[in-house]
Amino acid sequence: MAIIVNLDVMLAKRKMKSKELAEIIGITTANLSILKSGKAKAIRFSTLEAICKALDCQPADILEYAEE
Amino acid sequence: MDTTKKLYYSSLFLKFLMGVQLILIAGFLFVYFHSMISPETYDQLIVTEEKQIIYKFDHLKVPDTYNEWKESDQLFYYTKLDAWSQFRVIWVKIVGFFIYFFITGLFLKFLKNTNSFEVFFKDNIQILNKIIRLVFFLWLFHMILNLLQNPMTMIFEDLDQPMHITRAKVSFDFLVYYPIMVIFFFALREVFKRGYELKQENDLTI
Repeated sequence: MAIIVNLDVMLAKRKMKSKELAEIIGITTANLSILKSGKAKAIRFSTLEAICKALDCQPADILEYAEE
Repeated sequence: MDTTKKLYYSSLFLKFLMGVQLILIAGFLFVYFHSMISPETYDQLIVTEEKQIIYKFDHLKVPDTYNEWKESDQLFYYTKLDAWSQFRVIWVKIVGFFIYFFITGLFLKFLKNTNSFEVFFKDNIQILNKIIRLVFFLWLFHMILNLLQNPMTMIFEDLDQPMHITRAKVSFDFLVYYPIMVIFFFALREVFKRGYELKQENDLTI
């Protein structure tokens, strides 16, 4: 997919565990894993907002476009 | 009546249909083999031009000779048919009911999936695929039988040489009904395919 999810990088920068982030934003660890692995088909604005709030970052820090 | 009850009664009806189809298959098998052992029991079985089998209560005597038959209503008597015609008349029905039995069974599964609210389930697409294949097979089966093996022959052996009476009637109904059924199930399968894709997309939206 042309959209790359850099959630792992941001989690490492903020020294936060996936489980912790999942609890804060209110989604299951399984869904967070789908998001991290790039298998997700779409992301809700509410989820993106919650992630940005929890990691104190911008959407562009998490999502990146790269030509295939 | 709520949906769950409607689905319950529909599945009951389909089960009833399956039961009827099984009884008919068993009945036709019994008639076919029993008529070989005791043909006189089936003297009142008449085969119509459309190859439907009817039991004539008011008819008492099967004509023994060709002349007797010529002076009668000129019906086609099951017991007077040659072996191939008997086989064809009975086994077309057995195969037909057998395929319908499977189609009804698949439809029952389909209904059960709907009952458990697994509407856009991958199983449903596979069920519809199987139904399409079975209807298509039924279509080919009827086409081959109607166009290639249509005539039925009755034999009277009273003269020096056996007298063969052959009758054939081709109906082209199958050219309309089966394609419509195939198209209907094909459209339904495409709807379910699209639904399944949308469900997957929804499941993978975080």
